[in-house]
Amino acid sequence: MNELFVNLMIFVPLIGAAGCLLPGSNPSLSKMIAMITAVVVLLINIALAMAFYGEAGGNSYLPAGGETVVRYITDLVWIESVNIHYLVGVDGLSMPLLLLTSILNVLIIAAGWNVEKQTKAFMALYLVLMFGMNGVFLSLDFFLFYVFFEVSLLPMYFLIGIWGGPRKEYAAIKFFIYTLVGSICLLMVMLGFYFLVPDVATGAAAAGGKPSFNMIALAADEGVQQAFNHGGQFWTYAKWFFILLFISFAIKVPAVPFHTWLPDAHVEAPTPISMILAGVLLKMGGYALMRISYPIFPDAAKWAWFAVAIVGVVSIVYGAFCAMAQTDWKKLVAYSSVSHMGYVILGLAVLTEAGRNGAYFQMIGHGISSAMMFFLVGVVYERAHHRDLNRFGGLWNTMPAYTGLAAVGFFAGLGLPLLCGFPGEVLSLMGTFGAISWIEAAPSWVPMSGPGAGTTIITLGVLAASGVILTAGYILWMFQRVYMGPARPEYTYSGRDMVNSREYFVMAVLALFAIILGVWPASVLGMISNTFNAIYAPFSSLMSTAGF
Amino acid sequence: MTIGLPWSEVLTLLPELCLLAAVCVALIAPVLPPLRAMFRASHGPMTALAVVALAAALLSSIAMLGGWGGLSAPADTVLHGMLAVDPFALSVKVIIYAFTLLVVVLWMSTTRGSVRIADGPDYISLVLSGALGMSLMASATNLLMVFLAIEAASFPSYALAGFNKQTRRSSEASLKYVLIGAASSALMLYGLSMLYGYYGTLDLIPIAQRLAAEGMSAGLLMGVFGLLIGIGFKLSAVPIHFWCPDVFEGASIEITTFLSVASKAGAIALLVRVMMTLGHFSGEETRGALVGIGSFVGLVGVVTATWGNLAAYFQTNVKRLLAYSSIAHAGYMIMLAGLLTASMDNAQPADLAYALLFYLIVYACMNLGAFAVAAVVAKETGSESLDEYAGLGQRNAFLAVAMGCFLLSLFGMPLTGGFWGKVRFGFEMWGEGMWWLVAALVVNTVFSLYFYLKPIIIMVWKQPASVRVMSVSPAMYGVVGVSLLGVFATGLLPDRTTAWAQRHSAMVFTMPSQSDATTQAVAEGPVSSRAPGVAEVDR
Repeated sequence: MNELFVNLMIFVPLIGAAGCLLPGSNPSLSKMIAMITAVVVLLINIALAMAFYGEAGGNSYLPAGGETVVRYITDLVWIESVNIHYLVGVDGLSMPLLLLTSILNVLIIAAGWNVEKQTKAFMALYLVLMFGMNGVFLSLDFFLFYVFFEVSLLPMYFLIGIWGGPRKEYAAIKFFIYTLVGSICLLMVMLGFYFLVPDVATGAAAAGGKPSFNMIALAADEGVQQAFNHGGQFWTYAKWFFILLFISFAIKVPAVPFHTWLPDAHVEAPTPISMILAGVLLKMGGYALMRISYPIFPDAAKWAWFAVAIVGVVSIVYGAFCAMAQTDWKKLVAYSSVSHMGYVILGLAVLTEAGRNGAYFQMIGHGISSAMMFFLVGVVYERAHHRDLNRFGGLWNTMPAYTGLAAVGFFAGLGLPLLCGFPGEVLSLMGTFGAISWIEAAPSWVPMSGPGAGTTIITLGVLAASGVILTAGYILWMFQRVYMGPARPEYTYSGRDMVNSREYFVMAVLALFAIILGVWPASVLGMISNTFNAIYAPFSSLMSTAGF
Repeated sequence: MTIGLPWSEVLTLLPELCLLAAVCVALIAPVLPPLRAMFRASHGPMTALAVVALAAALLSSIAMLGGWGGLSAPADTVLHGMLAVDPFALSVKVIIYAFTLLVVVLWMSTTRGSVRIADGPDYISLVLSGALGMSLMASATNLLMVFLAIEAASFPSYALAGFNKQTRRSSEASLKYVLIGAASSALMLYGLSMLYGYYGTLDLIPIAQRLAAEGMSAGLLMGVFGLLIGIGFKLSAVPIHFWCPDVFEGASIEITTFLSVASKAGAIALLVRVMMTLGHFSGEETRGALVGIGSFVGLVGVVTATWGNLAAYFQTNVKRLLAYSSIAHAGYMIMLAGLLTASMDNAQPADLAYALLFYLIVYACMNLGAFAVAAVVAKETGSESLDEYAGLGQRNAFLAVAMGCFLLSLFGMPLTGGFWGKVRFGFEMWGEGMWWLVAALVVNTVFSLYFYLKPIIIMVWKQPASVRVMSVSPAMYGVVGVSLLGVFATGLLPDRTTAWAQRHSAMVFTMPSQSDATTQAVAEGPVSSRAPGVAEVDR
């Protein structure tokens, strides 16, 4: 039954998309179909989550690792000649992100309820995007993952390109080309697996001399791990593969210096699409790092930790400074995404338990807060028809209820304690400082190892922590310019222009989640802990020395 | 030595004979008084003749490939070593005939009106004899035959490119085509004469064997080089590609379609045969030289692909855009053909040819589809400019979506056949340790994204001048539908096509030898000492 649910999560959106495009359907019917599809997928997802977390053992996939991490597997041979499987299943790493996606889907379709241009196509493309996103989070075969990664790219391209702002074509093609370069890096790694894995696989990934693209098996296979780890015969390859994968996923995250597509895409995208882009699509990058890069190449991850951490810190600080310099409100929020996703990179780079818990929590928290911030901007933009921060003012007086919710959203983005932005950042920073002990004790091929590690880590940590202050700076400054001050007549809305109940619904639900996650971060952390312990077993020795 | 015509072997050329018969009928029947009126009345009878002949050729080659009705692919060369009718050649012929058949359907439902009825017989006989030449290219194992096949494919192509006598561009294209063709033919003949001077034979297999035994010399290299120039001309390999965009733009669209796939399929089959024969019979001393030749061919492929992709950026005419795209795809295929000789493992080439067959199938589908949509749009709007694609989505959503799929497949998007074609190339190149080819393939794919997206952008975003619905004839829906089916059948479930290509990529020297009688009847001199081939492909 649950196996069926997993597959339904992938394919129900496609059925919905076909329904939207049926010749008989009209715009309002297509919106209903999209909403019903999103709600059905959400219900399936909730049922799946309840079953998953309610069950002790379940369908175990990995006999070797001991822990049962992946459940509800469907394993069909898709392309036999290359041994590519349709392999889907769910574990603690994918479940919270799936829930986030499903919740956002409903809200985003609600947010897109007023799309008037080619509504049928919009809803159909959104549902195809949903198919791609769920596929990315559920696929366990590398190749299948890649296919879904690409599938989610195309609808996004059209969603930005058709429904976007004035420079939509430029933004859409830039988004497409950047992501595609990343996909090609992925393809190179797959080529490598195709040739290297059959020679060394002994356990879970040994597929009778054929290449295995099973991501879980690759991470668990002793022969593969030995060959790809330091001193193994494919150690050089492992380093290259880690770099290629990192480039691919850093483009998606996006991390500086691969981030330049993001401000363009966000500024031009319509509000609902900005929400899903920031809320879910960026998380694919972080998720893929946790699913593929770190478990399969643990030693390469240690080898690269410093470079990755630098990328994270630079993203945090540079993103924050860029955000501060913007006068376009949406661009400010877009750069804040770059800055916030930097904590994900940093938290992963340092290889401590607190760090990766923080990274994961940051993805969920940012999924809520960034979607909310983009919606908050969208609500005003639809009425004011501009986003120039310097022309706003006094919204608190003219739109008090909206401003109340906006405060929740932006302060969540700011990282205020008890809201969803805080735990991720703080855990990520704690994890960074906690990395001192393992890096000091690490062998010499790990960069910055030895007694000097403390200084390096503290420098990194302090720089990253300064991002928190910069974030407070640009958010508060923005809040002041937009919401404070005397009421202005041009931003006084009445009648049909008042913020409507649909918009309040979207904001209220997001605000609710922002508060719940902030008050009770253990909800997410508890959902991932078992899986993290299992798939990060190669780092367990680090954890014990790290103290976190 | 008496040279008789072994009649049993003539039958193995059944598909070609079908075409030859049809060409004769097309030339003679219209002048016979009782039939003249019928052929003067409409294009119908001539079209029917072409369709029947191509269908017969297609069926007979499928029958030979499948071993139906007592037909089979002979395990050795036929007609005194002139031709090899092996599974590889037959599969390429299947692709060529099926493709030409669809091109005739395309012609019938779009541009037939522009050909005068009195010219119909000429036109059909040229198309059929072109297809005949191209299928001979896939079979030729004797260098003289190679030359004849290339000329047999080229002369009808010259005439067809200039068939539209009223247009200056068409005549210009034809002239350019003839000049470059003549020059490359001359160079090829020079190279062939050199090879003959060295070995006293023109048979490819003995030459390859002698080469392996006796080693390489500078003169021989020139001979091989001349041969490669002749083939490279047909493939529009850089630097003998200049005819391609002009011919593609000047010629009528169905001729462009025909030349972009059928002609290239024949030429790539010939190149594969040459490269594989050289690689298969290599000896220790010639290994280095052959790796050099293979790498050179690979390099030509890289340059061709890169040049095609870069030049496509600036095109505003859809036929020119697709012409450069086909240059780029020819480049990818040449890269893999180079691998056949550069392969370090002698047994390996047999495993590689299937990747090319697979690619040819996919390439035929996606190019036919793209050109078919282009033909419909050109017919409706009277122009081949990319601007005419503005708002195609509103004018005919099916055409727009189909065109989008074809372009993305040409680019190599996952879930389409083009993706698997390139991925297989990548797998094989990596497997042979040719890193730089993988890198070139990847970089080129990235390059190509922009110009494949450009028509899609125009289709979706530009406002059309008129939103009149574009009508499409059922036959064209058929052609586009078949292509779309091919693109997705090879993209979603590539296993079947891959298995088919693997089963049918064997060549004469990799097939188990038949009875001695056949060998003796065919082989002369060194041929009889031919090594028993490496058996079936075993992937």
